[in-house]
Amino acid sequence: MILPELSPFKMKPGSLKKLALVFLAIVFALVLVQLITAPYKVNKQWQGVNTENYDYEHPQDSLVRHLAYLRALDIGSTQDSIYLIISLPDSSVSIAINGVKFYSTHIDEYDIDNFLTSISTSTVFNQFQRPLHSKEVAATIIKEPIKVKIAPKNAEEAAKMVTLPDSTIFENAIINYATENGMLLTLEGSNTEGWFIQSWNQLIDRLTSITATAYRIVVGIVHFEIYEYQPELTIKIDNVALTSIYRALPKEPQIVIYF
Amino acid sequence: MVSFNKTTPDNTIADSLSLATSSELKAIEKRLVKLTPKSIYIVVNSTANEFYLIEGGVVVSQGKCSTGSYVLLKNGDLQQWIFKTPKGEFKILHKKKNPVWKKPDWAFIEEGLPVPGINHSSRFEYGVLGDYALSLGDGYLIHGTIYQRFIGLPVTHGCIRLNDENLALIYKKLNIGSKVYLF
Repeated sequence: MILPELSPFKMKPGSLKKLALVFLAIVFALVLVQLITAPYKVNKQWQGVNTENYDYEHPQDSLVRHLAYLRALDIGSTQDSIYLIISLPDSSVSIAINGVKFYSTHIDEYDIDNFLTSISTSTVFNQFQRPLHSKEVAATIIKEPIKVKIAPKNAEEAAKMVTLPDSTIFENAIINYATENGMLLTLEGSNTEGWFIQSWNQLIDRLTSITATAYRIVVGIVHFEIYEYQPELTIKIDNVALTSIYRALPKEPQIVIYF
Repeated sequence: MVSFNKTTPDNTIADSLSLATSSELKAIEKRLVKLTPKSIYIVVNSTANEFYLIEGGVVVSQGKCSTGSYVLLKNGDLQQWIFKTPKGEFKILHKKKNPVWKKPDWAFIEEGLPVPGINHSSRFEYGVLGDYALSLGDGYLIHGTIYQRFIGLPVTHGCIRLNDENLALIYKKLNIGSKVYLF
């Protein structure tokens, strides 16, 4: 009689498959847990800085939100650099300095995270009663379209060096501001393309966003890091206005958000 | 039946809260209104190359202008100038009719010409700034131009150029001390 070889590394056929499935199930469960718990963690963090409590619902609700907005404007008015103001109730994006809103544009479209619309008035008040500092900025357009010109040696060389003025046609811009409280504010130039292209682009954007989130979570699990949820607010405005606003603001501007 | 006027402890707290909130709202609104310029002011968008003349919160006039070209002129390793319109809040400091342009060093270097003495006659050009100039400080002006076809394009050395008609209007409307918002 031949006895089977007793090796701790030898597995029955199909065991590897089962192990892989169990591993995938664990990863899936971890992803799910992270996805579900991350917003709660942000909510708790945002509530954590409570200084005043406003736990009343309508009609005080809108009054308190308005007060948070005005307080943020009031603090903003002490700044002598240009800051950004987003007001969803007014459908406007503005820039201001020393308390004076000197340029505004109309919001064509916006997409607000369910998280932001579901948090309590008290949390809104505590988070948005002051301008938020933007700690990271990413843009698809350049901030200053600088053209380097080397001084000509003589008048003849100068005559040959014709500098063409910068184009007045602006590329479609997307600007991302990551705020100090972990929010992601996206400003996008409104599309002038047709319905089909717009829908297609929206679908691609959504899929890219889902893939990026999934990738971040999986990489986080591999590196034993906790996924951090980023509440998002996406706003679409006229592209020339967006380019103008982006170029007017300092590198990491203060942002007042009212919703 | 639910009565909305019924006074309960909760309602009392809510009412006093509402009163406190309302009075704070009024106080902040008052402070913010005070900051808004009472007299006419001008806003210049250096990306779109447009200006807006605003009085009492209403745009009374708007049009095209020219602003800084964003050219960075380098003269060797030691000298460089960037021709961009500054951003922020400014005031009209001086107003002048028939201004004369005193060409700075970069104007000669840009043309490949030798830089003359500080008060040399070749530094003074007549008529190139149009009929009026309004000074914002640090050499930045709102002025006219003989190159009116470039109005609406970013071609200046940082100043704001207007066509004759708009320049005359702004000279007439803005006073010394009027606010100027550049962005």
